[in-house]
Amino acid sequence: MEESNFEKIEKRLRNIDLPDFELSRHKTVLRQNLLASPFFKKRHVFFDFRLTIPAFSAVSLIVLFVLFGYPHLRFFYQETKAEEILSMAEKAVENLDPKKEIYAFSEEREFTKLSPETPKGTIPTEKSESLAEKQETISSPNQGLEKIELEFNKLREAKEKGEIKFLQYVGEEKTLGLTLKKIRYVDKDNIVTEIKINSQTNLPVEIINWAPEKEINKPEMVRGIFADEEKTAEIKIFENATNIPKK
Amino acid sequence: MALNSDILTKKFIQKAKNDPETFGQLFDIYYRPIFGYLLRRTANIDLAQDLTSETFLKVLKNFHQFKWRGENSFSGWLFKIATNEMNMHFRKNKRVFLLNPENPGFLDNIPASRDYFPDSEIIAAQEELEKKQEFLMIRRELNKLREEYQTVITLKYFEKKKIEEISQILEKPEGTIKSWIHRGLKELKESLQANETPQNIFHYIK
Repeated sequence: MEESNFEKIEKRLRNIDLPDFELSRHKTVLRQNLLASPFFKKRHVFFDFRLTIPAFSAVSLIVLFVLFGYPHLRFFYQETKAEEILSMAEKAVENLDPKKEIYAFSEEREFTKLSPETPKGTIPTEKSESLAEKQETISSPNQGLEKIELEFNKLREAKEKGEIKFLQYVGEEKTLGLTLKKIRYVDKDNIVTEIKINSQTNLPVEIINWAPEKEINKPEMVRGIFADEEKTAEIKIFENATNIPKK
Repeated sequence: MALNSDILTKKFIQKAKNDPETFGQLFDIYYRPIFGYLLRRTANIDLAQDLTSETFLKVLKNFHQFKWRGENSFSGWLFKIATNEMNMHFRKNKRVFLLNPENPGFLDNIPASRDYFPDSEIIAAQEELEKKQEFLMIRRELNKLREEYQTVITLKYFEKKKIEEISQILEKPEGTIKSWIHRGLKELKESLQANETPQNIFHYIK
């Protein structure tokens, strides 16, 4: 019953004599205003003949620089900077004062004392004892410094063989009151390594390796790729026990 | 060459984004459907003019955001903008005015673009509109319904849009559109039965 009533009203609505006209004056004035609007003017300023040639030349130069010049210049600059930082870091590790107290945060989540001349070991992090108390808890041999040296040796060898791609300075990071310079590179197996270096002492503070899902084939990809530190942190070095984060 | 929607291709729309002449051609095609839709939705010539102007201005401003999704996509986008402009207007201006088809000056109390177009065309258009007695009566009853019901019924029965198109215009699922139409028709039927032959009625536009 309701359906048939709906049919009636639907039929009535469909057959209604509707107003259907346009207002030519309104249409003309609106059309003129729309076409003369600044939206089109802005877009067409480059088509002014007097401006066309210089504007086109300037735009072309900018486009060419953005497309070809800038990435290469940037890549070259970041590579040179990364080389400089690495070289200073290598020297800093070589000249490491044997008496300086340095702690490493290994992937086992233990702090390892790195002072080369003394027995090296680990300090549990869950306790908040003084430095002296922490040193007493040293129990296992340190491998942190060896890891850094190993990483640097591997890097040197790989560079000599030409197996390192896209060595890049990728910016700074501020953590635990330190300013860390970050460099990254990719090896022949597409493994990305990131080394964070203390800008004051030039000592490496953290080394991370990870295998990204995508193949890195452009220097800009090295900068953009995400590192999952929880899974991949190899070692974190702390030059001052007060910087050691509490669990 | 007579302009019609057959010339609407992706390329043509793309060109219109930057080329005023091509945009002008698009405007020529769509001025009448959009003005007509707004007139049939508002039954008010001045308001339909203003909303048509606002709609095309919005189209021009946001043209770069339009993405081609098939042959009806541009038309759907225009109707969506027109519908949004109208709904925004009604929400901002909850006006009360006398709707009496027998009184030729029944729209005079609304300040609108009439002042800028004081010509015989408007008077003629007004007379033309006032001849559509049944439309005005149905429109008056439709205006008592919820905004959504008014919109879907106008789009389906006056603008002859398919459910799929209405769904795209209003960005609602087809099931929702069907249910709004059903409920709208039910309420319209009841309203018409109660007020089939009114003379002077105070009419509220939301």
